[in-house]
Amino acid sequence: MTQKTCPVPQNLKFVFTIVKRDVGEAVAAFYRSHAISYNFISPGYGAAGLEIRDYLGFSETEKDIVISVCTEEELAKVLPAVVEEFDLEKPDSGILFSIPVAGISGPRALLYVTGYEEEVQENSNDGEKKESGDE
Amino acid sequence: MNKDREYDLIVTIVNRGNADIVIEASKKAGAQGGTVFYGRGTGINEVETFFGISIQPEKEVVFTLIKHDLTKSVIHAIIEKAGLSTPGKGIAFALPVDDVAGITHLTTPCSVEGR
Repeated sequence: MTQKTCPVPQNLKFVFTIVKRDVGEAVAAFYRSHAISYNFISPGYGAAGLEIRDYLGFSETEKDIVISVCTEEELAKVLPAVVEEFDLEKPDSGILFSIPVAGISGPRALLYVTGYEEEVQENSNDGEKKESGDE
Repeated sequence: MNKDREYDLIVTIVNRGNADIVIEASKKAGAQGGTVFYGRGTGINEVETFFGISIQPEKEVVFTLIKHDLTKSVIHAIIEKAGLSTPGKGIAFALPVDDVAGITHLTTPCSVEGR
């Protein structure tokens, strides 16, 4: 059986937020509170800054990379709030950028990353509810 | 696709330990820095078995956010210094970036393209 990729709404974005280690959890929580439910945190290392600090061992290089999926409209709303909340205007506090999504593995994945997985779960739970009703 | 975008993201995947070469090359070519994280390769050059046990080679992924007009020179510097024209050494590619925040040393504090 051949499986086709799902067409993606034109405005879907992958948002990368790179912050200091252990701040990633707070960033993900902040996105969740703004209805962006798919957040993926990966550990990484920063390589910016003055080289002399690297030699002296002063630079805190451990980072959290938060990958989130949202629409362009959602990002436009949340971006100023994220910049303010996590002081991204200050040097060394973190960066944020977004990449347009061109394709996704299927409708279920699309629903999952865009935060509508609850609807899918409700449908799949229908059978279980009927069973429990029989008892 | 918006052709006059301001930033690109260069993604470089190299063998573990080579990220420093990539960072150094990109900095010399005009980048401000980068972010490194770990990955695992599964390409044709990585499938090696040793007494029947397959070895999973570890990789480093380097994210470099760069101004669009510098993308070509930085990616060429990375290819040259990290030897990416040799098979099995790694790959590099650039993705278009739409919204950027937190690049205080490169631009105004918060710029959102196309709005």
